[in-house]
Amino acid sequence: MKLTGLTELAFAYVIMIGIIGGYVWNLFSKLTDVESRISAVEKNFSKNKYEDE
Amino acid sequence: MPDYKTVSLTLILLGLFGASISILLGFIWVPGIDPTTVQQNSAESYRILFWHVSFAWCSFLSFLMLFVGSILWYLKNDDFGWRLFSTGSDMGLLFGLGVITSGPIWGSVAWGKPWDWGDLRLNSFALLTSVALFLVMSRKSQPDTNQTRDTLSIIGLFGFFLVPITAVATTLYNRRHPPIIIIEGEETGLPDEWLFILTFSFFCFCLLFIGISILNDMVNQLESKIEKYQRAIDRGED
Repeated sequence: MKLTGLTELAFAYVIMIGIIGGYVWNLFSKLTDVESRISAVEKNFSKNKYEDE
Repeated sequence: MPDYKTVSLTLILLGLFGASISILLGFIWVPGIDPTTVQQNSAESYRILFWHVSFAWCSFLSFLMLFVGSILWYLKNDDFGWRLFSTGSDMGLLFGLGVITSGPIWGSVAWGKPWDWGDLRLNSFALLTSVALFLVMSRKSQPDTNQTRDTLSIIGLFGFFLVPITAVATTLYNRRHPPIIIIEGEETGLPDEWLFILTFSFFCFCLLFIGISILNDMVNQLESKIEKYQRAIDRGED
C-alpha cells in the first residue's frame, strides 16, 4: 500500500488521540477501582471497631 | 472542598474538545504550504505541527513539574514535592510518548526516514522520555521509602537538565528536525493563521494537562492511602 502524507498525518493524529484517550480511560478505571477498595477497607475497619466496643 | 473528579473531567473534556477543533481548523482554515518546496507528498503532513508541538511543550511543563518536585523532596523531604514528582514523571511519559510516536510518522514522510540517530533534538528528547519511563517504572516497582524517593529525585534532577539541551538542540546542532520557527526572523516565523491555531491548541493542551495532572494526583494519593491501610492490616492494626 502506498501511503500519502495525508494518510500518515491521520495515522499520527489517531495515535496521539489514542494515547491521551487510553491514558485518561485507564486513570478513571484505576480511580474507581482504588475508591471501591478504600471504601471496602474503611467499612471493614469501622465494623471491627464497632465489634470491639 | 471542590469535587476534583468533576473538575478534572471538565478540564479534560474541554481540552480535548478544543484540541479537536484545532485539528479541524488546521485542515480547513490554515493555508497549506507550497508543495514544490518540500519532499513529494509531504505538503499536507506539516499540519501535524498543531498537536505535535503542543505535546512537546506540555512535556516540558511536565519536566518542570518533575524538577520542582525533585528539589522540594530532596531538600525538604516535602510530601507535596513528592506528589509533584510523581505527577510530573507520569505526565512526562504520557506527553513524551505522544511526541516520539507522532514525530517519526511525520519524519517518514518529510525526511524519507522515521529517525535520525545523528540528530541531537530527536535523541535528547528520546532520552528525556526514557528517563520519565524509568522513573515511572521504578516508582511502581520499588518500595515507597525515603531512600527510594531520594534516589529517584536525583535522577529526576538529571532528567530536567536535558530539557534546555533539547530546547536549544535545533539551534546548536541541527541535522533533521526543523529549527525554532515560532520566533519571527529572516528565515523563520509562521503565518498568522498557523500561529493562532498553534497558540489555541497549546492553550487547550494546557487545560488537558491540568485536568490529567489533577486526576493523576488523585490516583497517586489514593494508592498511597491504600498502601498505608495494607501495612496496617499486615501489622494487625484496626
